[in-house]
Amino acid sequence: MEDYLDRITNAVKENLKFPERTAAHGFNVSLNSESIREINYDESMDPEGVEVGAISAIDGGSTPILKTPSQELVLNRVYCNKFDRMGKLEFAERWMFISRTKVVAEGSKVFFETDVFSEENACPFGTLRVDSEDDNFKIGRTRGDLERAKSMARRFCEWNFVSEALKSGADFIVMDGSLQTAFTSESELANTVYGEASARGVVVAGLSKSSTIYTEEGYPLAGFLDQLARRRGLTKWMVDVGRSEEWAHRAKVFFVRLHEGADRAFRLDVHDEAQESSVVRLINSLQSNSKYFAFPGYPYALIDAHTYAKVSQEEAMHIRDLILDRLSLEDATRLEQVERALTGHDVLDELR
Amino acid sequence: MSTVGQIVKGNNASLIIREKKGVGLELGDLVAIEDGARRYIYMVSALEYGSLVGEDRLFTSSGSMLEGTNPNIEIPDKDLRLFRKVYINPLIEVRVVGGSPKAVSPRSIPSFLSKVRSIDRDDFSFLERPKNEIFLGKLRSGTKTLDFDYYLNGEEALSHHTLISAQTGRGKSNMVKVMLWEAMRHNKFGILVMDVHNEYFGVGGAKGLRNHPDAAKSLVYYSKNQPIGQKKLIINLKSLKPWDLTDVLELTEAQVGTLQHFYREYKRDWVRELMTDRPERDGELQVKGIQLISVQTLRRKIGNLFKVKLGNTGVPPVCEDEIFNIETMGESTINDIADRMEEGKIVLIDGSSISDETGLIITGAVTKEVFHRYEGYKDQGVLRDRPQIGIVLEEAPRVLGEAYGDNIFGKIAREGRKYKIGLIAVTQIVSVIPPEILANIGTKIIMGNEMAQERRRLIESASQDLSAYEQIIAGLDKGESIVSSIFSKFPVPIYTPLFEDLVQEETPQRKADQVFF
Repeated sequence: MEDYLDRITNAVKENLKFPERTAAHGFNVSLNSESIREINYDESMDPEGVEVGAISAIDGGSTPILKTPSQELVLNRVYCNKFDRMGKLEFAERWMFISRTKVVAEGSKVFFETDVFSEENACPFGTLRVDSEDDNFKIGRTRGDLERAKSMARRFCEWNFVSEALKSGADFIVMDGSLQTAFTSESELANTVYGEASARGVVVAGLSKSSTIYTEEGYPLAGFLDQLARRRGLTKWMVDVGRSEEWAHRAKVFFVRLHEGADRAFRLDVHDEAQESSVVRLINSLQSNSKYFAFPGYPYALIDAHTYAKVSQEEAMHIRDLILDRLSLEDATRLEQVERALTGHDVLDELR
Repeated sequence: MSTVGQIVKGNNASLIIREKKGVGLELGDLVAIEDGARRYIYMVSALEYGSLVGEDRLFTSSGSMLEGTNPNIEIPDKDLRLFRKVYINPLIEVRVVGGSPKAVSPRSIPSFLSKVRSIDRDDFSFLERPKNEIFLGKLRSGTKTLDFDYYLNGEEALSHHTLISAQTGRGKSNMVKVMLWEAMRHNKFGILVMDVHNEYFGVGGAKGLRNHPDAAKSLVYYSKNQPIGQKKLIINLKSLKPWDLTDVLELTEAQVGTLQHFYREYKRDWVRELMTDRPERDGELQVKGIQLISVQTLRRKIGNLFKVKLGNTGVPPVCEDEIFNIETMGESTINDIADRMEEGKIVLIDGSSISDETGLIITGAVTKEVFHRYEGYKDQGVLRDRPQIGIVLEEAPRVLGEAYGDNIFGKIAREGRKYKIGLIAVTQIVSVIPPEILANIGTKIIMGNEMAQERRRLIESASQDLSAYEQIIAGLDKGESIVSSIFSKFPVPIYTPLFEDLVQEETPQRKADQVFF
């Protein structure tokens, strides 16, 4: 038994050995301890806020309403706000809609189609259709699935929602997550959004709570960078990881540790047309907005957006009830029967 | 009227609201909830922190702020994750019936997630001015006084008895003075006050009831040092009966028997004979079963109570204090006092130079006289035309405790209502008053009390459910009280102004809004 555990432990340790110099896998910048740049925006030295700008954060939330092997209804909400440093300003927009993603089989091909339903005509676009064997959609050699397809609607809406956030007059729009595009036509949408933002002098960025980027040797990049910063005794820092040579992605990737009390760094994607000075100002702004007592180092604007975008189980169940009420007893029974194909695990969990 | 919170949880007994940032509700604050045609008035009964942040993270964050290890962090003003949970208890539900508001005891709860707002004087527009009103103070929301006068119906409050309970220094005497001042407006309440500190009349330049515009017709003051126009206090001991003493003093059976013997033998001269040492009579007394030791003990007690110097066969006993007389002076004082009360006057007796027991004996004697008369009026069917009588009993437990259950005061507590005679019992120790008597007291004015046992007794005996009020009662400041009455649909928080301020601002045209129950 002990030998077995020792071997596991050694295997884990192997993955924690960081090189002195490397690059993020697929990225174009070589990284070593000199790549880490100290950041130290001091608000007391900038009382007028000249070196910072307003941030509008966008986040989305979704909760399933009903789910069968071939279709899924999801209640979605996207929300944006506006912050000046830690102060919330009088601006907020939200869209709420239901997306329905279903499987469409045409001969040997399988497609996923998503439609959006909304009372307020929020997130207006036609049917989104994706080929399950689309290279951007596949995971390795496996065709994409319904689970992946259903996130399309929210992602597309978040991109569309940048137009709403632009109304805030903020200098920076910070989306929750990366700026990576995953679906066909998502890149085109992103480009339109970038163009619209650039025309107004606004920089679009994305901040990810988690990152799976690894080094060329296969080590976790975030850990590697954190070790480099520690060696130099830096508590607030940024590093330019560069651009991915593989992704359909018009962004430069940074890692930033925005607060001296933060317990982690975050991945920050910035539209690649942003000037260096804008990036510095963005990072100043994020520092001044990342002082929330319960999560120092993470932008409070995103915490706020998360709070208002979140869709509770109760909200989704309310919609579900309204839909079931409109079905005949026969249809409702049939629907519940079909849903059981996915809920066997829940029953097992209830058995404890 | 600003929003102070929103209902997030609760049931008919209490609701939990999330407090709007910065409002700072306090225990005892009143709040209102509008719900269609209904309005609910609630009172803040408890405050609690609420947080949507994990406890470990809270401890870590507070540690870093506290220890200065991570000073560069902030708690935004409008942070949604930190808040205060405020527990509120229902007071009253106001429904619009036939176009006018009608208050009922709460029978429903407001809609879930209803907004809660601060209280306003107009929220009490359902209240009307009572007959025979006695101003008690202004409605109060926590420590904030509302511009809304609160009145008791004097007749109801007196006939069903009123208890004023508070720890020393919380405003009991002030409350009594304010009530008497207000009662004097009507000239239809005969109230007897044994003023042991001589503080109600207003002597030595102090403001008192003598300053009342109607004092000439509504106030009578008996004192050893009476001012011009007032009455000289002289009580002839012939007007006292043995049971006036046994109502108040703890006496042995033998001593009671001795008193009764002297009264049977000498009638109105029983005190004089008891206080006269006649050795030739001792044998006769012993034959009749009277122990000389009992006689001697009673002489000592009565001598102390009424400052009577023992006499003997040749020298009659004499009263050394001019308040008491054993000859002919003051024979009609008890009757005179009863007469004045029947005229609807406030009668103050300056009891500052006599002992508490003596004061209670005199009070008891007058009370018995009035009770006797009113029994007659009832029999004659003319009681309805007589003024309502009130007896102010300071340190009431002394005569309302278990040991004195059958005395005149206990009798009034139980039966006085039928005879239009009521008590205003003033005390800081409620727990020694028998539950049966407490249950008979219709109105309880509960002032600050830090003694948990006393608070619990008050809560148990209140006319409304005050179970959520224990801490609030402990924290009541001087002049603040909660009025729990069988005539009220909810416990009413009030603030009673300083008597001196009331006198100062007294003008005939005081016409603030009115409240009654």
